[in-house]
Amino acid sequence: MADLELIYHDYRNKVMGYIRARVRRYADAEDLCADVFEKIQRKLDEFDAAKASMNTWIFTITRNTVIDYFRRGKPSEELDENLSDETEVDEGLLRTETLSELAGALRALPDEMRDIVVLRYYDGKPLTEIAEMMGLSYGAVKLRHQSALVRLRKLMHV
Amino acid sequence: MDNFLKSLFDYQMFEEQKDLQSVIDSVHARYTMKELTADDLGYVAAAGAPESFRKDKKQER
Repeated sequence: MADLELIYHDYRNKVMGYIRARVRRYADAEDLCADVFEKIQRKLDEFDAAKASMNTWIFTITRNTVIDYFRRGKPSEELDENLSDETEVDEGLLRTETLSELAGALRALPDEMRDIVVLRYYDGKPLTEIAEMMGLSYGAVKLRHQSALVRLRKLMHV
Repeated sequence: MDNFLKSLFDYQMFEEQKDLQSVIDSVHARYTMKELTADDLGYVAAAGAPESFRKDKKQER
């Protein structure tokens, strides 16, 4: 069985980094981080390396903990639509190699398309706001967004 | 494709894969978009200099 102290040492920064990217109040982020490691401790016996890597397992626990936080209702903050629990996560894709492939595919896009994809999916910005940020019309951004998705699908063989 | 990208970028926030992060950072560098959090604002005086504060916060990461 993996040692909890070692897991905490290896994953604390990743867990806290993810939570801080989602939750603005530092005190809440610290509480959630503690919740995550409490859950890890409680469920460690259930961890099955044949089903998922430790990394993916801890990511899933962290993600679900953040979703629960927003579900409990935080009037000052809204759940990023990219984090919706309605978004099916194919855990098989959650590998650093896939992230590296995505980086390569993004580099192959024209600058404007790359910007739209990052602002839309990493930062969770709506296309209207992206259009404003980029000084383009909504129609132009919508068109480039669609073209970017088509190109990425081809580049990543999805 | 939409959900695929949502999932990967969400995972990136946890994994912080270096290659992808450099692509993201290069996009962010073109847009001044970091919003100050409520906690951040606690450190900024009313007549303070938010720009220098942002740089400091970035260097910490």
